[in-house]
Amino acid sequence: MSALEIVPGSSTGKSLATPDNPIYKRRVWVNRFNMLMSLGTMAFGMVFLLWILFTLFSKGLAAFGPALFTQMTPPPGSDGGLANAIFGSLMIVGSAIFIATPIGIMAGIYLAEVGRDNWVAKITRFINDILLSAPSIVIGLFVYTLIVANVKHYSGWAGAVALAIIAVPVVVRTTETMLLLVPNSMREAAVALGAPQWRVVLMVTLKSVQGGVVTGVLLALARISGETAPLLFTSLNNQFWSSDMNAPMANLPVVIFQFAMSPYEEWQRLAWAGALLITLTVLVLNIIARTLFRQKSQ
Amino acid sequence: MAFQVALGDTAVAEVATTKIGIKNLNFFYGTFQGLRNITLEIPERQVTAFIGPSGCGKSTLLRTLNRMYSLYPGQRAEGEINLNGVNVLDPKHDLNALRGQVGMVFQKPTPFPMSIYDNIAFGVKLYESLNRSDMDERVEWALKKAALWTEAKDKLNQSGLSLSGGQQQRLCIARGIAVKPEVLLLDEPTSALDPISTARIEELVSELRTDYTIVMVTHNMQQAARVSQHTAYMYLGELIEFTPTAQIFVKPKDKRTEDYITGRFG
Amino acid sequence: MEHTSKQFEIELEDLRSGLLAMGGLVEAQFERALEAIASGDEELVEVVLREEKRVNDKQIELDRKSMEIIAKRQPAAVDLRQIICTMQAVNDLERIGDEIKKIAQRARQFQASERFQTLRLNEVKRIGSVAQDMLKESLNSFARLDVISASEVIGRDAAVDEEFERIMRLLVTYMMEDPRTISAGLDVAFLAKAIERVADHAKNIGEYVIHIVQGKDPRHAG
Repeated sequence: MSALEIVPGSSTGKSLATPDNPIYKRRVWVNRFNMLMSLGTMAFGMVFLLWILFTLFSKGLAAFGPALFTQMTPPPGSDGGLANAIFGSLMIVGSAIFIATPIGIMAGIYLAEVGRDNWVAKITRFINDILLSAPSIVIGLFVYTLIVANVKHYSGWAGAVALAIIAVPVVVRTTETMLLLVPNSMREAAVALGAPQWRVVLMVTLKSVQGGVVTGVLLALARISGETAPLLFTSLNNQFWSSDMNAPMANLPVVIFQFAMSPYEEWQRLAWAGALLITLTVLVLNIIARTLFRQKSQ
Repeated sequence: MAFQVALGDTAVAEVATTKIGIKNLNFFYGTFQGLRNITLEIPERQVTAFIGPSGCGKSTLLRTLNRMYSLYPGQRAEGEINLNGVNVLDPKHDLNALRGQVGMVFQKPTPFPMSIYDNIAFGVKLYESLNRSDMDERVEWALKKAALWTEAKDKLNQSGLSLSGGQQQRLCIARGIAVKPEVLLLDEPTSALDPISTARIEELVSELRTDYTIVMVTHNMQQAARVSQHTAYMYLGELIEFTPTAQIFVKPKDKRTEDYITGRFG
Repeated sequence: MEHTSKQFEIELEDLRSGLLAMGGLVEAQFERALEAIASGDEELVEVVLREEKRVNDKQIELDRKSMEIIAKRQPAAVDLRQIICTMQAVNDLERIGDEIKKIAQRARQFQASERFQTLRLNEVKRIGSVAQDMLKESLNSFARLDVISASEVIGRDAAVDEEFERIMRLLVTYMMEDPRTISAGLDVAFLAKAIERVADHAKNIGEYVIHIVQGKDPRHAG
């Protein structure tokens, strides 16, 4: 009301949003400027993303073919594929998620449903936040001193543990966030029927956000499938097919790292192909996660 | 005259036995006192309504009746709430058993993320292990009781969320009575619903009265007038007046009640 | 305390002042009718008969307004009692209007009969002015929601009834003495009866005041 009274003639009931109102005019221009700036920054980011994707596709597609999935990593100077590295990555990442998912979900449940604001929950949340942003190389070194240095050899398991440590905080965070989205009335409704807490969580709250929790796991999967640094210190690499998780194991990121740095042209081509493969996997995982989440939130 | 009707209801009220006896109840949110020395006798198989302005403690009072507050640390109640003569505020009292006796329906419909059938079976399974056909029967019974059977019988396996708001609320009532409680607490059960759904829920409440003791909180005074036999007016955590409904809306005893129900509040 | 809704307050006030306006109209009619009996003024009778229509219109208007408020506001407690009692008071005022019409019509017939001149002038005037007072007091107590003056009005009704009985006894004596006075005597009897009815309606209005304020129904209490 008072804003209206400042402008004379407002009592006629005429709208103030006319093109010749100077305040209104300035707003229009400020709006245009801001719009332009945001479009510009978005374009800036997109250019690099598209550039990376374009380079990846143009160089990586050259080595793409059935051989990539069937042949082992070759010795320098000869053709080959990435079969052992792909298999190794699947094993390590799969084990990591297998370890991380239950731990992460349970911790998330604790934070959102049980601990809430008690000191254990507060400390856990704080540590989880630190872990979430910890450099992966630090985690690699940690697992190196914890496992590799003790058992005196690199192993797939050590790699899986390192990746699990990276994945857990992601799962914890998304699980907690998702559970906190459940309206309290839902919890109360289940409690009001006389359901014990574990039943409330398992059958009602967790169930109502299962899409979101699965999304969190998928995002964690995407996050760890490209990690190189922690694997360098833990599972290292293997030129041959190996399914022994207790021995050093080939994996895509480390192979890419090694091959890309080498002077051999065949290796470099394979590195590009591997990079493209990881990128596509991450992209697909992200898309799945997003559609899943959208369906569930509707 | 309505006045004589009110006197008639008083006579009815004297015949009814007390289902829930609240004695000197005080309630605290941390250091803030939400309820002050409430003493109230809720009659059996009647509808009792709590009215009052926001923050007067009517929902708080309702939530002490099934000790819902114990979900939240820092909230505590002192005094006595005697359900069938047993003090449910006794810390040794079995909470889950209490909630089996005292069901609750909330402001917003809260169907669980499962099928209509499972929504109802969920509560039943907590207390009874029924075989499939007995469970089918119970689900049908509850849905019929909640006047939802005809609308839901062909989609028992669909998600409870696929129902409309009013139907969801009736599903919640069905879920509540499927457990076979003695008391049903309704916390503003129609405030999120359209007028037609509201009328149906009100009709349902009047029907359920023959089997259950119903306590409801409502913002809508006309609703309290329509469905309840007794009305309690609360203000600032105190019980100002507890009177047969017909009387409170014609001639309340307390001036503060009169000001509130005639819209002279604040 | 005022209603949170100003509009509701205005509507109730409008109803209240409408009732008092109708009361004023009826009071003026009663004054004219009593005057016409005393003076035999034909023109006054005409005015009373003409004005009666305005009283009836007022009744319809106030009933409509009351119903509108009930439909729109769902009044409770004191508001509900006030509106219901206003409707009843309006009804009583309209009935008073009818009685006044009868009185005025009797005044016209009266011109012919000179026999009961003193009776008419003194006795009818006395009971008339008591009834007039009661009507005025009842309307005042309604305007102020004054329980004390309302109880006074109710109390005075007994006096009017007694006065009526006294007039009747007097008339019977006259008529027994001289049967030729029967027709004129009946005229006076009807006149007194109409005035007595006005007092009854005024008493009703007093009872509504008590019902509005205290919420108890004083009717048929004794």
